[in-house]
Formats: sequence, structure tokens, C-alpha cells
Amino acid sequence: MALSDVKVLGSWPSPFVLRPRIALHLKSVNYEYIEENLLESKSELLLKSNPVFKKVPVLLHGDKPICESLIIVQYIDEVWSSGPSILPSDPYERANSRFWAAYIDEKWFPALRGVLAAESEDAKKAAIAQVEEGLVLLEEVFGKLSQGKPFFGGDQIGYLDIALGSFLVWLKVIEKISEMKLLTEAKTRCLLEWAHRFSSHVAVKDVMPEADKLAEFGVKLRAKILKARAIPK
Amino acid sequence: MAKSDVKVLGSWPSPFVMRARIALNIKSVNYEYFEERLREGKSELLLKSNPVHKKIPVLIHGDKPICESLVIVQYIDETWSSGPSILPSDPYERATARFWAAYLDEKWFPSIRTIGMAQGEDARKAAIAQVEEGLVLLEEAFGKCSKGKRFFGGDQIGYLDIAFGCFLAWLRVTEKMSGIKLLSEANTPALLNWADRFCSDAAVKDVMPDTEKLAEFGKMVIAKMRGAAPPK
Repeated sequence: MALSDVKVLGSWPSPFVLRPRIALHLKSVNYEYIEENLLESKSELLLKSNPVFKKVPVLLHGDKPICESLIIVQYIDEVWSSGPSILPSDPYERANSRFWAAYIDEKWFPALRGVLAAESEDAKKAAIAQVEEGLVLLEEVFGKLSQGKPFFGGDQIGYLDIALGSFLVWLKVIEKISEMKLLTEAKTRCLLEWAHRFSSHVAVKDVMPEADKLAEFGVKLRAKILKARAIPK
Repeated sequence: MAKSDVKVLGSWPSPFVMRARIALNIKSVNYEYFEERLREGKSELLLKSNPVHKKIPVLIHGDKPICESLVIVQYIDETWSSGPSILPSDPYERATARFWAAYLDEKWFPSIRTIGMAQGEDARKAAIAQVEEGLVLLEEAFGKCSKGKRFFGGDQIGYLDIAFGCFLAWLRVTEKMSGIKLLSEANTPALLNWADRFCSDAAVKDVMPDTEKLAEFGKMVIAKMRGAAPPK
């Protein structure tokens, strides 16, 4: 397949962009990565490929744009079906993976982002508590789904590993901001170990951003968010 | 399969519950329906089956609970694989169907709810404009997905028909309460026709709530929320 046949429009700080990149790597698919600068204005290509949401990631397969990170991951799994499976094969396990990925995006990640964007100490504490609660839930989920194996997906990285693992560097940044460990030996031992395994996996390590660089970006992003809130509507 | 092997926990006004029921109907799966009386507090069974979100619908298959309406629909499609397919078979068409379903849940349906809750004429107009913009987008999506056929899914009701069609009763209630036609011959002729076809489909008509009944329910919910909402 020609290199330019598969493109990913992304932005290095975005955890959502990591997802299709990891999935393509798992399937050994070569692709062209195009960096969008999210702090500046959006490119023509992005606006044309994702007119509805105008967001990264976008996967361009030939002339077809596919948007929304988890939809992209499923598309990759279904198109390159001869590669290792990303979603489990059993319908109930698939439903579980989808359920928890949705939980991560709809409930857990907003709490994580809430720590970054918190305006007061109280708001920050409340957000941190929510993040911790979620991690305790996910620790339990890991126990059930991994069934003693190294990943949520079993022997190999799967859908839910990708969904949660894509947030690990941001989690480190939030730990730095909140000056506390959120993944701990005491409460989330399995997740702590899983996080190391995931981050050092060959399909992951080259696309994960550096924690220090992301922390610097986090400071800029927080300033941007707070400034936007201060503008009277 | 024994009837009690498949259960749906639901609530009659919920569009999300309709999705699970329509999908089971398409697959000709018999199921037992349990109405949650949400005003009286959530049942033991609901809290046990969906401890994370405590919401309906929940599908209980044997002893396995499955939650989140679109996750349930996909589960039904994959489990009863000998019945008519709900998701398209082509990966790009699947991605497109999933995309629009996500758009409906994350952007469009919240804007419908905003119309009902809007305080002031400006807020109301802005909310209506958002809904109408969304419908124009969906009209275009219908053209592309249906390719001249009767449904988003082609000849038969599919994933996106279910994801969108479940909101039609609430859409009609909103039209009634706001006095505005949101689906119209002028702007959304294809969707207007699709809506009638969808609502009269055998898999749908018995689970679609009556517009009058839903309108009364809607008024009560709004009154309650306005009365109960403390100033922020």
C-alpha cells in the first residue's frame, strides 16, 4: 500500500490522536502523519475532512475521511482484518470494551480535564476525587477483563487498552499539577503495572508524547481555557 | 429461547430505550419488558445491573447486563447474527453510521432538549437554529447513506435509522410545543418522508410513544426542572 494512501491528521498533545496511531501500528499499516497546530488556526485539510466537528484525529483512507477516535479504531480493526484483532471476538466482551471506553470518554476524561481547568482549590479537589474513583473502578474492570493476562485485551493490546492507555501521559501531567500519585500501589496496583507495560509497548512508545513537554503544553492550555472563560458572553 | 432469557429495563418516554426494543424486534427476539417507574426511585434490578450509570436502557441476556443504548444495539446485532443485519457490512459505511449516531447523541439531541429548557426568546431561537442546522446536515447524510433507498440502512431499517428515529416522538413534541415545523418539505423533504416510513415500520410502531402522552410528560418534566432548579 502506498504510504500516502493512509494519512492521520493529528496533534501531538492529543490523547485521542494516539488511538488511531497505535491501532495502525498494531496492524503494521504504514501511514503519513500530518501535524495540526491546535493553538493556531485549523488547516484547510482538517476543515474539509471533518466539517462537522473540525477536530483531530481524522483518518484519511484514500479519499475517505473517518472521524472520531474510537470510530477510527474500529474502522482500522475491520479494514485490516488480517492483522491482530483489536476488539474481542465475543459479543459480550465487545460490549464490555465499548461500555468502558464510552465511560472513559464521557465521565473519566472530563474529570481529568477538570483538574487541569479547575479555577479553585475546591473544584480541583473535587475533580481529583472523581479521577481517583474512576481509576478504582477501572482497576476492578482490569481484573475482570484481563483474566490474569497482561492487558485488558488479554495477551495483546486491545480496544480498551488503547482507549485508556492514550491518557497515560496526561495522567502523569495531572499527577504533577495535583502533586499526588493517582495510580498507586495501594489502590490501583494492577493498573500501575499495566501502565508501564502499555507505555513501553512497541506500538505505543514512539507516539507517546514526553511528559515534560506535555506538562509545558498543559500550562499553556490551562491559561487558554481560563482566558476563554473570562470573556463575558 | 425462553422469553425470560432476554429482558429490557426501560421507561416509556425514553428514546434510548426504544433503540434496544426496535433492534430486538428486527431480530424477532422475544423479550420481557420491565417498566422502571423513575419517579418512584430506581429499582433494585436497575441499580444492580447498571451500577456505574444507573440508567435505562439495560439489556439483560441470561445473567449478563449490557448498558448504553448503542452498545446494546451492536450487541444485539452481533449476538443474533442470523437475523437481518443492523450495521452495514462495509467498514466505511459502518464508520459513517457510527459517526452520525455519535453526532446525534453528543450534539443534536442535547440541542433539542435545550429548546424545551431555554430561558428567554433569544436562547430559544438559538437552540432552534442549532436543531435546524443539524437536520440539514442529516438530510444530506440521508441522501448519501440511503442511495435512493427507503432508509439510512438501505431497504431495511439499520443502525442510523434506529439511532435517529428513536428521537422522532420528542421531535414532534418539540414542534408542537414551539409551534415550529422542524422537519419540513422546504428544508428536509427526504427526512420528512423517512420519518413517516420509520414510524410506521413493524419493528417500530408498537414501541413509539404517543405524541400527546409524551407532550404531557414533557410539560411535567420541564415544570419540575424549572421549579426545582436552584439559582447557580
